[in-house]
Amino acid sequence: MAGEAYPDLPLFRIDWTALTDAQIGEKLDAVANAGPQCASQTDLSLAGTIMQIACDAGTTGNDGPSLSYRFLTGNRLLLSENGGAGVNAGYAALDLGELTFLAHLIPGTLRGFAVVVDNHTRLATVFELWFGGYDKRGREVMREVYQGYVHADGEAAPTKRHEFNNRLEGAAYHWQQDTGAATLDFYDSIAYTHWVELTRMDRSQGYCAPADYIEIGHGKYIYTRTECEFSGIFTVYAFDVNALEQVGLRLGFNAADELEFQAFRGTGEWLGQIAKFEDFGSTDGGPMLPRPGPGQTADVDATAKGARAVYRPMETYRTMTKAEVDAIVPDNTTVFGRAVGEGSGATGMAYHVESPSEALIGRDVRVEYDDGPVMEYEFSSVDELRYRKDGGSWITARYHAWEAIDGVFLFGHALSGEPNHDGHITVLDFEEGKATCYNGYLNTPYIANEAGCRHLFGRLVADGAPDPGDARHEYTLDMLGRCITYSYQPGLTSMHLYSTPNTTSWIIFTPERSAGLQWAGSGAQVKIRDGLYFLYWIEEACNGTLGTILLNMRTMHDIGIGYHCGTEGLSISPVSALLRHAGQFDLERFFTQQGEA
Amino acid sequence: MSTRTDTSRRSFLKVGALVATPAAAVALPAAALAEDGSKAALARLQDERAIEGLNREFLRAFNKGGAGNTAKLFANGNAPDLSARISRLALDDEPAQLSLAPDGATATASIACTVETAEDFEGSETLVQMARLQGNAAGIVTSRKQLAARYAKRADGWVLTEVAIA
Repeated sequence: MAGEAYPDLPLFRIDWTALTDAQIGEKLDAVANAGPQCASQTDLSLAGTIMQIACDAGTTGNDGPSLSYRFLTGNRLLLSENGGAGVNAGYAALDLGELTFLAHLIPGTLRGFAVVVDNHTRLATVFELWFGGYDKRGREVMREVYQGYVHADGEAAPTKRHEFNNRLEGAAYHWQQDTGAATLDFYDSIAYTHWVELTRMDRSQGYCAPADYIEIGHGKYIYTRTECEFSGIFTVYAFDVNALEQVGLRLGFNAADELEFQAFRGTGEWLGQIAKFEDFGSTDGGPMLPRPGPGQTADVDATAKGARAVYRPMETYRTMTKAEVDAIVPDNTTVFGRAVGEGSGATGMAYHVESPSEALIGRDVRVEYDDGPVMEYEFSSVDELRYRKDGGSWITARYHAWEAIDGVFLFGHALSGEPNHDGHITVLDFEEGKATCYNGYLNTPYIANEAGCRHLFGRLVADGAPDPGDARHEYTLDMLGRCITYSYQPGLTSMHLYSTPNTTSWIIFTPERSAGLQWAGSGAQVKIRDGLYFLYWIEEACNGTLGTILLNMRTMHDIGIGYHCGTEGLSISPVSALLRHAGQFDLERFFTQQGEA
Repeated sequence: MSTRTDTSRRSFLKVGALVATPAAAVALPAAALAEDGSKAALARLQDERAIEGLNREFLRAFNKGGAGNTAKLFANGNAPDLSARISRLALDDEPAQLSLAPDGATATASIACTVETAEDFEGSETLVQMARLQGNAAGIVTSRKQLAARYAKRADGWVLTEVAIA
């Protein structure tokens, strides 16, 4: 059911309408003759000219079209595709130095084109756009990208082309458009992008989408993103990284099912550049095509027009009802159930987990959380403790703990008998007398086996621990904009980007160490010490895991605990990786308040 | 550094490798012998080239999309039953052992090859799923194998009837 265009919900919580081709076509027809709206003055200088564009095969190998444009008066054009009959349409053109950007729909169809021409080289990049191409989500704009050139009488065809490559990988920009929309756009992959809506939405959450990165030359590039799994809106813009200007198009349906068909101009600001990890000198880039392979059973066809690698997490997420969760978890909760450590047969993300600490054995600890429970602990062995909550009965539970720095421990355990199957993942800080807990729980409103997380800050009472008074561990902006790589095992490295105080995005490196597929979830960033941070993220609408890590920037190592519920039950398990600091984007001024729950 | 093996081993594609096969190893179609020796040799050469081209197409299709992507090259339209864990094939520089049937309607070949077998990641975490989706593997094991292929000649050219790797 359509509501507000940009409701106060994360994109992954919006119930996107399954628009039919007929519904889409009706709305496209209403604007195809008028052409895109534009808040800025469009370029009408093409009137009276002819532009013939010859295209190579597209990204999937499909034949490229031959486009013959005759620009009429005003914003009217006549297009003949592959020598076919001419079709009238409205268009918008915008110039950017020697570039011309133009876009239009084709009346009576679900199709359109966006074209970027470099008038100096005559090279062109053509985006064929259409709705209804992805059968599960017709509103998702499909695109095929063709490189080509503008024909000139008496001139030989250029041999060069605009190029997909990795030159933009690792950069980020703040863009302010003439539409009033402002975004933080992260070019943090060769095939995906991350962005934060600063004006259309609450800026608390960043999102990920497949992207194209094409180099025009002389500091000019083309970027696209398709908001797959969400609205399906397609954005394309050409931009000049030195002039910090962009021209482009936004096409698609928002949450109110209103068609946005808008050409725009924008001005930008460079937010920084993080490291790349490919071989020095390598410029190989996207797009990333879908591929079959070991462990990959999806029906994929890399040669289908418009095909691209898209991470669609809900396709593999087995969601459960509250009844299913409540039935399976009590008798199927596994806490640190497998051996950990290199060579122990641990799962992929536990390869670098060190042996649990014995330093808590024999200690009695009381944690008084602000606006939360009082937890008392007796640590009886390396993997067994007794706890009681709010003075209730003592309960024996399995736990593991790791000492991140002297006197600071991360430990986790499940709570028995809780209606929502809580788990506590807690930092005990004996040096400062503080404790911070990420309290995972199930039966959240959206998906019952997806984790939720309460943030509990409190006072640790134990022998030798000072009284912190009102002081607590605090949310921090220290991690904001940072990119940290996490190498879990050979062949499995991801990079976290903390794009907002409440967002963790993760990016998977390809075998060639290019940044590849990417996704994001909500989270929080808490400072334990300078250089020691307690972070969490939830893989919402993805696989529901609550991931936590205690990250030591000085050792570039972490220890973490995951909390996950699936059809096999609830599991609490360790994760750990070897880290690299890829860099930090300059984002703090966009977030005037520190992260909060 | 990439662990991939170069798959563009051009020597496999060289006609010379097959032309150099001892004559005794290549039976000539009887009909061709009855006519003219040079015409028979030409026909044999054309068949060999066609089979080479088919092998190249098989290699390209396999390395791009796995066994399932090669189905169109087979007489029955079915993909060969090769291990899904094979991630890449590279055919050797050594000449293929090609044998044409006397009637010229079928052929067999045995080709030394290098097989890359991908080791799956354990687990079903999001990262692991994403890594699999983009072709990452926990490791690559490279081994030397023999690719055995059977071919049939149709009116529109040669097709594969069987491929096995042992």
